[in-house]
Amino acid sequence: MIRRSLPVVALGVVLAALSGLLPQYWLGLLTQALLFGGFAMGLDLLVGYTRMQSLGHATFFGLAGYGAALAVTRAALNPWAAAGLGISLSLLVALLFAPLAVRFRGLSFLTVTLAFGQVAWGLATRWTSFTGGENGIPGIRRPAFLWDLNDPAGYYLLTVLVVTAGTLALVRFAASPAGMSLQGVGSSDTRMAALGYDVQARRTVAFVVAALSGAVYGTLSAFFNRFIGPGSLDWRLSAQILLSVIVGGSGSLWGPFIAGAGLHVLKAGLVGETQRWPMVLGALYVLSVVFLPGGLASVPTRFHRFVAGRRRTSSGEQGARP
Amino acid sequence: MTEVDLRALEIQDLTVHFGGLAALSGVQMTVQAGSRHGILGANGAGKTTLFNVVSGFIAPTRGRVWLFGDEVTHLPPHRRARLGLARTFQITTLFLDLTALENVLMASLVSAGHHRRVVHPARHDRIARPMAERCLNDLGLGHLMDVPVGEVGYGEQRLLEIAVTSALAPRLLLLDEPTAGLSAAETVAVLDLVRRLPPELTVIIIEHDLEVLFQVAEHLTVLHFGEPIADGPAWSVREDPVVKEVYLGSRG
Repeated sequence: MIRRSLPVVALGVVLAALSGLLPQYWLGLLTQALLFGGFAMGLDLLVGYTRMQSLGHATFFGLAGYGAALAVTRAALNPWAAAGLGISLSLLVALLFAPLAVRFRGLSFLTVTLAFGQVAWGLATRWTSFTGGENGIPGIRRPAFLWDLNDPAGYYLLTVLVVTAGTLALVRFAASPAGMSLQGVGSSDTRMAALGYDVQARRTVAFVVAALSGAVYGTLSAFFNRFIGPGSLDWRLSAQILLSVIVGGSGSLWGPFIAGAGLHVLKAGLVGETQRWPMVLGALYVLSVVFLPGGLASVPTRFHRFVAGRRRTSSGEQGARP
Repeated sequence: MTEVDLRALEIQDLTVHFGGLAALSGVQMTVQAGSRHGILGANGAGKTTLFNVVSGFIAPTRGRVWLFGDEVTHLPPHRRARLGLARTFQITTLFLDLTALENVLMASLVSAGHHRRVVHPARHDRIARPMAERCLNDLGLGHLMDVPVGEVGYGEQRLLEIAVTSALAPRLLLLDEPTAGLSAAETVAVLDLVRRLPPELTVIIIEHDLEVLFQVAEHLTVLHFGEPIADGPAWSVREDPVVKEVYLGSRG
């Protein structure tokens, strides 16, 4: 266990130390990158472990944000309570939707989750009097904490704390018997059923855990931006996160985290070019599928094989490719 | 009461239609606890369909199934597994991207009752890990512990599937053509393994080769186009004129 937890904690400490070194702009960018990294990592449990490709997971990210935003701005609730409310709302919707969604497989599952996400997006854009429509909800007050969260470095530190804790919890869960059973369901649901596992129940668990992770990061994101809009429920965000999982290497957890964070930084770098973002995403997807089928996570193995192969050829042996 | 307890499996009037095709019609069968029961039949005789109905993967058109005295006709596969039923498949069904240890762990975690745990790592489970290692070592597969099953040879995969089912500590084991596609030496190894299974375990084996079945089964049921044409002790079924006619006769 220590072998898995230690790198996560060490990385958390390094990231926390950066708060005193980086200028404000970079801290803000890194805050969001970490949120999207964590979000992608949570989705990897569903996509990489259970092998269910969801194109609607922005729904749980956005719903939690909207829930918290409405509670703070309309009901003048304490921001912490509002965050709890937002996450609970998202969790509740996931619990209600999951039993239906997990009946579908492959492309049908992708379509059902996409359609479901569109309903939430439609509500957010059309129900203008309640959700602010396209304008969203501005003025979300950040909560009070041990340190000042209105300071960029302060909010960044909170994010590092939550992402580190969330990653530790997820990594630990993934290695547990319940986590391994999700891999089993993705690998052979027939074998799982024959061993006595309730396959639909396990799929539901994966769906809800991924939704919960999305909800936590969606809430953090809403408070970070002090704003929530329909962009947080947009299917293009779902696509970006699903792509992060694939480009990162599904099932590895750390790969999707890096890709999730990296894709956000890339998106932020294309300021003024946002119209082209879907095109860039598409090109990246094609490139990664063609040149790096296992995603970022396969790089270490490929590197080892490459080095081993070179050593063998240089020593005069044949058959360098394993 | 005791009589009920002695029956591992009971099947009454079992019929399965796939569209217009009758895969099984009117099958009656009783398997006593602790026996080694063989199911013989040519391709398409309905053997695998019978296993699929018994393990819950196919719902019968008509008829009822009991496991250890409990009616299970309408139970899903995982509930039947929890009653002590384990099975292998005609096409090896394992987690190809997981290691041999993880494959067996998936089963031993269930028998340890730890399969719902969410914190402690599965690989270090204090009950399931030693159980899984014992299963692998017993079958001489200890060297494969950390090898992804997809990279293991076909013969060892067949053995591994039996290791996975035995880690469930089942009361009734269904083996679907365990020697199919194996070399002569591998067949001997598998049959040897079947003979070494604990005597209190009830085993039902599907085979299309009577000679193979005769080595391990003491009781035989012969299926022919979905209908049982003989049922009884192995020696008597072997001498049965109808069986000789429709089954052995075709071999000359």
